[in-house]
Amino acid sequence: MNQVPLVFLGLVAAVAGSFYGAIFLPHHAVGRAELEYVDDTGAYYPAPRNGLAQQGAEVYRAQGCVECHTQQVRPKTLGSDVARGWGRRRTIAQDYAQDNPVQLGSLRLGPDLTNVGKRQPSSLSNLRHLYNPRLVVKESYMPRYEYLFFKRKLEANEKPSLNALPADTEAGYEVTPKPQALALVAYLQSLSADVPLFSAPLPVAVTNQVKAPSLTQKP
Amino acid sequence: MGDTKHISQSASVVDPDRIDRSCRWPVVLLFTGAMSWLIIGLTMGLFSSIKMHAPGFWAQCEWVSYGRLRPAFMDAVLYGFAAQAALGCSLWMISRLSRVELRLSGIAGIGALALNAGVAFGVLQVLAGQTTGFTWMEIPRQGASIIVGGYALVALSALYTLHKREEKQLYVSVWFLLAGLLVFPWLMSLAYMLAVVEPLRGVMQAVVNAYFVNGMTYLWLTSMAMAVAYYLLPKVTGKPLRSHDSALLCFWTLVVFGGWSGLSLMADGPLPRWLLGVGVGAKWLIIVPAAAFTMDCLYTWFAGKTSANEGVAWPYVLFGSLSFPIFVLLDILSTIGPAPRTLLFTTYSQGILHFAVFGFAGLLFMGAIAHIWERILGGRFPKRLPFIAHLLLSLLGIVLISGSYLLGGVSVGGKLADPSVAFTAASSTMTLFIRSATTGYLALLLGQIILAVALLKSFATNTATIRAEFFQWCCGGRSPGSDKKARARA
Ligand code: HEC
Repeated sequence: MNQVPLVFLGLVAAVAGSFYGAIFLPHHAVGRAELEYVDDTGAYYPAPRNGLAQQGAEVYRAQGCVECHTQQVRPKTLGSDVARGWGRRRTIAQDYAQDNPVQLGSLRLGPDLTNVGKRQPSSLSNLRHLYNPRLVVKESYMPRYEYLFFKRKLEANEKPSLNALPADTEAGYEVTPKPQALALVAYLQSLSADVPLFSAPLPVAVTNQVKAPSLTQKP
Repeated sequence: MGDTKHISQSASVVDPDRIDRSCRWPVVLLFTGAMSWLIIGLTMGLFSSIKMHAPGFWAQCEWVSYGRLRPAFMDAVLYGFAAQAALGCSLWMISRLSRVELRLSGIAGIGALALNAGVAFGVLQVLAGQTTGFTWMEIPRQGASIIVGGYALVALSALYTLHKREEKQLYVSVWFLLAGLLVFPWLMSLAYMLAVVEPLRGVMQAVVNAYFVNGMTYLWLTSMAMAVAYYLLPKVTGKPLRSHDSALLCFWTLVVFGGWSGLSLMADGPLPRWLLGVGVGAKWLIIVPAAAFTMDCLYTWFAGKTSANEGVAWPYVLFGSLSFPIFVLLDILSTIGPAPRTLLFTTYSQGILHFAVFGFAGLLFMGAIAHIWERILGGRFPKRLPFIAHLLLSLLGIVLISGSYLLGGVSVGGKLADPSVAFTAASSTMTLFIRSATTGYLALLLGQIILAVALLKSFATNTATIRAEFFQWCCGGRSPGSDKKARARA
């Protein structure tokens, strides 16, 4: 008997079945998620990113930040994410509806960045951290992204330009961010999944708070 | 039904030497490419690991920053090494098991060249920052299309040879090879279609990515490596396979559960719990093919008297096959009960992947390369020493890399589970483990260089004849003259 067609058909059936289970079913469950109108903020969630932040998302992808950083918060009962202040609620499919490519990540060599826009709102400290993470966290092993900055040796008594990073960044040098660095920081500042959703409410509901928490509030 | 039994009965059909010679050039091309990419890839892996404990190392150079080097390393190893090694083994094993000379060997050669060009182009694209941002799919669509095209051409040659076979009985390796040959182009085109070319919305991209990574591990890589194991086991032990039926059980359960378990990689992610449960359940069921395979191996290996342990391949087959159940158990362990709470998102998963790619598939492929290389170039290796050194260094490297990532994952994960421990306090323990992983990469790389040199040397011993035959093959197939000459030499 010629078994090749049999093996072939069996294979196609097995693979088609797994496609159904692992892609079609999830697509059915979450793939059509619509933007949700949130009463508390009076806007649809998630809002699209502004142009600069969208460019920053491209920098994030190109630099492979996803190799070390996730963008997903686990439910409170599964792991310490919420307790660590990486988010006040778990992330659900809706949070990613505007992302392309979705940079979920699977390895946390660095902290989760889902809500880093709320945690680290300052442009300056974000830029300094990108230029040399060890200026901010002494034992950090995050790579230095020096190449996202212009670096020029200062003449004696010359003042660095206004958009330069503070003088203690690199003594004797003027360090100014390239456009990619500014876009990347705009993207980081845009990262936040902190709006109460129907299927992922925020724990603050017990206080009867009506307005959404202000964006500068510490988690 | 073991393959060994048949050879003695019908050796008159086609002389194995002729079959070996018919595969020579495409397979040599593929194996040379495979070893080169393994060395290039491991060099990048070593560099990326060094960068973790010395972040200032080459920090000015954008092309070798960690976030680019790391994916380039994995892609070079997967598409450069594993894909080519698997294809080379398929061409040879299919010709041998079909008892016919390789057909369309020119097309296979072109496919091999295209595959190499695609990997080179793709790795450069990743280093240049054009990555897609999805695990194992970082190579942008242009490079990936060339890779799929090249792979499909080689697969075409293998499938056409199978179509023309003289041996009607399909040995179980052929089943696995069929799966491996077909699943790769299918998975690649599907995943790129749904996540890169016409991306699905939102989190579905991550689901497609998870399906792809899981499928590449359990459907493609595992099938290919098992084909090699089922072929070489009877060869190196001189005994027939214990049971054809349990091998078939292994095959069917693997292709069913191996695909369904895709969602388990999204563990605790932003999906409904029941969906994640389906994936995890399927992953647990992979214990069935793992058990069947392990029983086959152990029984074939240890029951009865082993007649022929000559050749260099047997330790590779032994260690490679026994790595599979370990790999599956480690993978399943990380999904049981509270384990994901600590192990998820740590380097534990990296440890598993390294173990699967280098320990299980890698060792089997390397053993097969050594086994096949001897036969297609017609001459035994003069010395065993390089192979012993290669094996020891590879084992050391694999244990060091996987061990550090696994233990590092357990230790850092345990600290992170306690919210009162600061993130940097937990992650700084990782540095120690990364250092020992670096040593592992170094050992693994050294081992591969030794193997490559040994292979090159045996190639260089009869360069004159080989070169003449190679030109003949390039200029339109095997002329009868070259056959005669080669036979005279043999
Ligand atoms: C080698 C792994 C690695 C890579 C690659 C990496 N990071 Fe990090 N990142 C870390 C580690 C470790 C920390 C924690 C220590 C620190 O703050 O420096 C961190 C911290 C951060 C923080 C501060 C988070 C907080 O909670 O305060 C931000 C923001 C950040 N990284 C952004 C990025 C961006 C953007 C990229 C890509 C350009 C990137 N990282 C690439 C490892 C990495």
